[in-house]
Amino acid sequence: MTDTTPEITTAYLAQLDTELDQLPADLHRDIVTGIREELEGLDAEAAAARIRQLGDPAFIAAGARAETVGEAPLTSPDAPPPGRTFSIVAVVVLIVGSFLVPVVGAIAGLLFVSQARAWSRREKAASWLATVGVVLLALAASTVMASAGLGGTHLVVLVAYLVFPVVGVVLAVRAQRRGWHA
Amino acid sequence: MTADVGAQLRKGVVEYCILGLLDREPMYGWQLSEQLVEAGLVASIGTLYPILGRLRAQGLATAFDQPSATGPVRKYYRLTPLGRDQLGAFRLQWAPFTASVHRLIGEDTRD
Repeated sequence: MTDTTPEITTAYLAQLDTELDQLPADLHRDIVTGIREELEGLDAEAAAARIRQLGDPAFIAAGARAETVGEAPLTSPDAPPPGRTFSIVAVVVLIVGSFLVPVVGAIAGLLFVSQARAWSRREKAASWLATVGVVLLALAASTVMASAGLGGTHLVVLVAYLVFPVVGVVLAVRAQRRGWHA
Repeated sequence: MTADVGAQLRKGVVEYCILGLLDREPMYGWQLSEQLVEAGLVASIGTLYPILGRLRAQGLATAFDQPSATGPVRKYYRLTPLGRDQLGAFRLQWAPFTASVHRLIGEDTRD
């Protein structure tokens, strides 16, 4: 995507990306990529015409959802969603692993969460941003405090480290509320 | 018995219609979507991609990237040998099937 991409194309793709957020990652990627290919290189007028043909992003997402739901007969209605066990293991590794194996356990937990199917791409990205951001901020604050001769720098880092299990609990609660579906 | 007969019929044949289109030539998503929407077989391009995913998962179609003459690299879909076999089997059954159904339901002779 270059700077010459018309605003209408950028806005349409962004809305499409949002509407498809709850779909499986592979399907989400295929639809966005296919439509981006179709709009790439078009000027604003041509893009607007093609967007009219493509239809509302919400309509496209609804069609994809309906067709995905149509695959359900292969499993019983009471069957757990695919990948639920892995998702539970991932969040347990993040919460418990953070304490049992500091740093390594936390990072392993985040990597597991990134591979799990119970969370959307947005939730996974937010988890990384929140944890890494808080830890970096804490390290920066402790460095400043140490250079100023202030005490308590270790406490700042330790408290900040709690962001890993806290994020794990938030992810677990969100996944549990929607039955471990993304 | 569902009221939306059309939806049930479309669901039963749309995958084979996609195989039929791909049997003519490799096609990209929008190309397929345009034809299928026009024929009333899918509601939108959003309906198409989950079906393409299933066809790929079943080994009936495969995807490859190809640069276009004027635009970006596109993802094209084409039939696999297994997909061609499946399409052949469907073609063999389709004509006798529709003939049988037609014979059973007959024409609507009411005014």
